Amino acid sequence: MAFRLICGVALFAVFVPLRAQSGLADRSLEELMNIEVTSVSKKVQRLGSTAASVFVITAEDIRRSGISILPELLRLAPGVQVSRLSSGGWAIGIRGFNDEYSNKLLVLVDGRSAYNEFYGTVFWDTLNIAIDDIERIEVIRGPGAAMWGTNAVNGVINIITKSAKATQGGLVAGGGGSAATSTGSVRYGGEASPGAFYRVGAQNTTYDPFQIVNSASPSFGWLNRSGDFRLDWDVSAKDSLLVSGNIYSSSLGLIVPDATISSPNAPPADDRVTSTGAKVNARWQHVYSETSSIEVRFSYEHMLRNDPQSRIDLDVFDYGFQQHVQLGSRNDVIWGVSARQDSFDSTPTPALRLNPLDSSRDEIAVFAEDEITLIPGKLSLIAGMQASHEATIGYAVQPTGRLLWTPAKNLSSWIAISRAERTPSVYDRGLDYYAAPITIPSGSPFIPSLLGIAHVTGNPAARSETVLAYEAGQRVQAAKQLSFDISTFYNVYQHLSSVSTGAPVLAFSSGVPYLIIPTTYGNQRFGESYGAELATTWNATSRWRLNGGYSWLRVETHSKPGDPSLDEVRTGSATPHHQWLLRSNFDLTRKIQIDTAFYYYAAMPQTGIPQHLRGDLRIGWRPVAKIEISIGVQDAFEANHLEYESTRFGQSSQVPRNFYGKLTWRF
Amino acid sequence: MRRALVSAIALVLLWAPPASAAGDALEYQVKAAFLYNFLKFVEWPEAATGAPWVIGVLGHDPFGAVLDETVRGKMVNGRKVELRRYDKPGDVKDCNILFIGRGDYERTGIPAQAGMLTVGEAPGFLKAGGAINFYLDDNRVRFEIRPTAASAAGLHVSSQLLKLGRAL
Repeated sequence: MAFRLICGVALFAVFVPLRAQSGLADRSLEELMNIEVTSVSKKVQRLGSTAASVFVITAEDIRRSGISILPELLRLAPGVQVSRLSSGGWAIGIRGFNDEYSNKLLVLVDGRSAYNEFYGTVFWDTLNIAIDDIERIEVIRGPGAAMWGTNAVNGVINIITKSAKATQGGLVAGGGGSAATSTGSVRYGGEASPGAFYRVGAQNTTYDPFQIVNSASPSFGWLNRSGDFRLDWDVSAKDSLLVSGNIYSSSLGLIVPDATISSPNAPPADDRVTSTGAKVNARWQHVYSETSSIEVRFSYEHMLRNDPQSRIDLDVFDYGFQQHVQLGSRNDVIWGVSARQDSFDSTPTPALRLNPLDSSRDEIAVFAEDEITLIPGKLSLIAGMQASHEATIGYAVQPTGRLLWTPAKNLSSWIAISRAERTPSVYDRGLDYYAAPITIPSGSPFIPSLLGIAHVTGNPAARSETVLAYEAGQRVQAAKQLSFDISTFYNVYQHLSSVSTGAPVLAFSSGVPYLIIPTTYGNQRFGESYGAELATTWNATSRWRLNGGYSWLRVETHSKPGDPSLDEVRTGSATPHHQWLLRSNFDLTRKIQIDTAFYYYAAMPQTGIPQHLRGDLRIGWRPVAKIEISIGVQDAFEANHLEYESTRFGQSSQVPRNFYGKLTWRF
Repeated sequence: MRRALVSAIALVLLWAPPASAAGDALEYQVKAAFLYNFLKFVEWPEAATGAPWVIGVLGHDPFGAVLDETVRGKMVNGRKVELRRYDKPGDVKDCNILFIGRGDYERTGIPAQAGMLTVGEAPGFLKAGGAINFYLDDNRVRFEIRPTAASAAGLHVSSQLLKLGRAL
């Protein structure tokens, strides 16, 4: 979509020219032919068009980070909190609310949503995109709902894969590490007929289980296998067709509570979550002129997820149409309609069932965004809105207004106000769950303690959580080699998802008394968050580039006086107040690169997670143009550390130090 | 903390940015790198010992300082690389590679000289007699070649260059 594109292009305009300067003359002709550029006029226009807090992780950043799996790459973007829960589990959040089921962050892969409407989260263990296939990752902090729709409350992560045209020929990449990891991928691209480019690929990622503190570790780690294809076909000079798809299978070991009333002391069980799925995505674009185009898209996804407590079968159909048109010299309009159908089929277990077991939800939406030039080249207003309807939620209206001022070519300032919604998931409405029993001390030596079970029920009348976000930002190209991007925000949240407990009920199981504690979901909490993010790039010399980032964040949530409701998901307690990062990319010679990175996460006292400084080092060697060998270490300073304290089922495990090696061969 | 934020923004604002140089667009960095690389992939007639390679730009120069930065300190086969800018075709002399910017060749024409490779960036440049023409495809810089124009100038373009470029 235009906004997305604009963000990408503009950021490229800010950062890429600086980065790419180093030693272009020494690149091979083939390499030169593969550098993506954009025409000057578009750049100048679009440099001034990002009235949002955006950071782009480029393919070069990705390669030089030495990171081999997608979720970990998000550490490169300032203001994103990445907490690894286990070998294949992550809690990832932007601007707070970082939970293992983060529900206010929208993730898109080539424009297709990876947000699961059933659970209301993104399953990172199912997103195993080959690192070498990623063109860039755009990270938008703040609401993006006017353009992308519901659940883009605190941010949008947009993963863009390379076109088939840009991945011609073969690639074999393989690596392994001391944390008993291995990643491998193969890819081949060709030209089926003139203008029709294809590629096929396969990936395999395996991790041994990470250690759990004071407990048995799962016997199984993480295994993800996937295969994918992509076709980019320039049907005519004005029409292009993209068809892509993938299949995957993921299996993740974890330790889950296994106690019951009859065996309250049973140790946690060694179990696993498995997911298999397939996705197909098609998009046709017709360009009338440089300022007018239409796009039609369709996607279908099937997923089967089996965890120790539930088994879910999902089908998602998504259709969209959009048009981009320039009206007169002052209005640049993009509008569209979309329809999405999610069907769910769940199989109950003794502990968990959903009401109803099968359901389906249909959502239709229209959106429009107009970029109005108030003073050509200096001041523009971006007004956008998305209106959607779903039977149980009703209408959702998510507007945004953004003002962009570009007093000079190298300076731009923006302010924005937006409203966004997080819609209740099927879980939020229909959950009926008996948690594992815990011992409730009676407080008196004469009365024996009792076992208690939380009986968690969803709220059939659950409503959307809403945010009203006030943002401001500034981009400065201080010198040719130095740029800054700073943004600040103040968010006001209403109807935040909450849990509250009722009066315990005494029950008996085979004559043994125990307490059932009714626990229900509601929308009783409210709160606010505020903070700032800074990203800076400094090209110290033609061979040495530094990237820095800092983010400061506070999240506060409350309930009304006298109401004992608690937050349903983690809001601020699992979010460090400070994070910074510093990355250095140094070309020792034309063939040898030395890359270092430091990531700092302040302590999270409420969850007992201490501060952590992560240090990464990578040495890359390119003996010939088609072969790259790299070795390095991740998390050099600590042998094992805990990044997140899980509150859900499955225990968090410790992230180990990892010495690794990787070989990439192109042919 | 609010106050600290305000001063941080003020600090950034005060960092009075000098006007950034024109033509630092990535597209022209890539094109500059190509021009320099072309020197290595063409068989040139013998030149006087010690004479530098000459890359010329005729008419409007879209590179700004980018081309100068690209070839600064560079040597090809033991010879330095020199840049020259020409206002009119009549000024062009002893030039190895002559670049003519978009929209200029129609005005200036394409001078043909023995031992000189002409490079353009406009549709129709090859038809008008040029040897190599840049174009953008999928946001990437590509080039097309008319080998006959090169051989008419007494130059032999290497097979590697022909393979990568679209031959006409």
